Amino acid sequence: MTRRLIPFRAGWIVRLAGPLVLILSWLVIPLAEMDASGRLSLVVIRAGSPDALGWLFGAVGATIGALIGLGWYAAALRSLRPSRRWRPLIGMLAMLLILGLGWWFVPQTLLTSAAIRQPPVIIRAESDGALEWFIFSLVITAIVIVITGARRRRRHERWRGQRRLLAIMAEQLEDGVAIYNWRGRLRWSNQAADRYLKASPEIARLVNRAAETRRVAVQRVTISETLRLQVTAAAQPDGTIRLIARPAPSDDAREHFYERFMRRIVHDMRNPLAAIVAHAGNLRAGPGGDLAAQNTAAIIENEAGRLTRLVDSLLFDARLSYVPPALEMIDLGDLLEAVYYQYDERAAREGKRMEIEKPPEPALAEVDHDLLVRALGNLIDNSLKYTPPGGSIVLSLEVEPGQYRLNVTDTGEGIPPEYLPDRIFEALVRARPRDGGSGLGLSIVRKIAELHGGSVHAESIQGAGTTLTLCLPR
Amino acid sequence: MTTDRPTVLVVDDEEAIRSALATLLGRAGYIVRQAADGPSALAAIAQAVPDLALLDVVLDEGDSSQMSGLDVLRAIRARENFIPVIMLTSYPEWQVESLGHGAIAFVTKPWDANALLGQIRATLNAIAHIRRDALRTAGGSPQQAAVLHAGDVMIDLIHYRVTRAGQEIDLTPIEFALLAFLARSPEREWTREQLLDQVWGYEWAGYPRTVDRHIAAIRRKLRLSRDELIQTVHGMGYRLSP
Repeated sequence: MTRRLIPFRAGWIVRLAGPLVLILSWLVIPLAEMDASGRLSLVVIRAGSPDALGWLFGAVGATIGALIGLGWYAAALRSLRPSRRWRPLIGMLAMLLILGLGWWFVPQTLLTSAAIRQPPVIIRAESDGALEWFIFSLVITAIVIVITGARRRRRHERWRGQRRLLAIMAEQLEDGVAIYNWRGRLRWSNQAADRYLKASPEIARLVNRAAETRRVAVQRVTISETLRLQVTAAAQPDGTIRLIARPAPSDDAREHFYERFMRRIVHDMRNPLAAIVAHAGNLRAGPGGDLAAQNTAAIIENEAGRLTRLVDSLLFDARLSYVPPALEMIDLGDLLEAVYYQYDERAAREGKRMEIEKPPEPALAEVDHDLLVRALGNLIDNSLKYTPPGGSIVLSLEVEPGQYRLNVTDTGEGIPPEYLPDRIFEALVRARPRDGGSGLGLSIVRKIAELHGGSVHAESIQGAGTTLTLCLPR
Repeated sequence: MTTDRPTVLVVDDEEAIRSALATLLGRAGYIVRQAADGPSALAAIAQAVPDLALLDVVLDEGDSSQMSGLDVLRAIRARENFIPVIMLTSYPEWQVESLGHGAIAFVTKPWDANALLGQIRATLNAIAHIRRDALRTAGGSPQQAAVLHAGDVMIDLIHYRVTRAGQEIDLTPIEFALLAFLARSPEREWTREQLLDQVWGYEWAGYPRTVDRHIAAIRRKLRLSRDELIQTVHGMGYRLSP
């Protein structure tokens, strides 16, 4: 499916070799010889002469030229652009022209120039039968073309049949498929791709991004309300860019339904909760000074807050199995920083130190930004919960061959060994059953990691601290 | 409308939410007006322009003939004068695609009372700052003063819109004010405290990290690479150089 079947440099050598051999065969042929009287004479063996060497050179040159022309022709036929097919034909014609010019004119010129430069030279030149010999070698060339060509043609016909079949299949695809050259210029595309490209300029931008970064760029593109595409632009090792735009109608319909359902449920559940939390808060902070009532209000506020978080986790957990991740290429360092800024104020309020360590160079990965923010947030939540005031939490990003490691290291009380290394990430498993957690937070982290082809691990020393690690493939 | 007590318009279809917000904001010293649906919200705005609007994203989900919060937002943005809007959403992972309605902020329900009050205060200050700034420079040529350029980033001070290379970027009012402030005096270095003082405009509870958070958000939204456009001046603060 690639454009260049002959590697670039070798292609030129092959293409130039034919004409070169032809020209050389004419330049080399003039041979000088001394006659008995000691005078130099130049013998020019023309193709038309019965001299074996001349014949050999001429025939070999013509054959090689023809073969190369054919090779060129076949290679160009195999390439994907039908409009370029005239090129090899032009090449063949040029070759024949060189051949003809060689047979007729080169010896003439040599003869004359040699005669002018070296007047005393006796020139013995054969001029008879030149035309016959030219025709003879043309016949040889034609035979070679017919013999080799027939085989190639059969192969080519078979190949063209397959290609036609493939083209028909490609046009029937709902997936948009396109191939770009290394400069991001469109080389080939099916109808679906043309349609999608016309509908959204974002797809072309994605291709440019892949061409610039020499990587795989993935993005969700919305074409219309009912049609969303998962677009992948992948830079290939040979320099081309492969574009696949795959509609996700079934997922989207489901997603659409789910989103509506979600909005409904979430709105109906969170709104009353929000009202309870807010009114309880007003009551707690309000004037009046009834300490018992304010205490009660604080309890209502806290418990309603807890209920909200539980509802959140349940809905989010459910959402994960419905809605596919929206992957985009982002810098994990930036992501870590964004999460850091979501929690640093709370950490400071609770008297805990929070730090961030990340490498200076960008760590690019294809992830769902919101999901990862959620996953890291859950890890940090967990660490904050089990780290006493005065402790510290360090977010760090390590770049390893093949994977990124996002670590949340705390100086908290640690996780009991029976929950290590990964039982703690199972749903509804809680190291401390009465701490008010839902037992869903860390299982959500694991789900998110797995959706990205990654994993989660916990390392912990009781009483000294815990490191929770989210690994993502690089 | 810079009286001592700014007006906040609360738009939510649920009375329980409106009254909770009214109590909270009333105690904090704001004049609170309420509207239960889109048309009455727009009527209230037509009557007297509030300093800020708190707007529920989903106003009456069940009836699609009703105006949604986003419809109301669109109508508010179609007006000549910019009114800062904080949208209240029920769902924290709400996928808000580019709205293209100028600066806007989101707060999820249930809200943290202190955070919400802080955000309202900071937003009002940021907007007031931009208005003062625009007024001060409008004497010469108002057209030119209304649009700031920083590299390929364009900042429209009238409609509170930011575009980078033609693409609209949704910033919050505070982020917008911070970016506009930096763009106003390029190549100048500002400390975090100066920025808090100038943009947020009141004594912050000693938390200069707030500036970093907003700068990080601006960089992320504008897709700026590290030290592109906005540079971190080590041990000091920030500088914008196009």
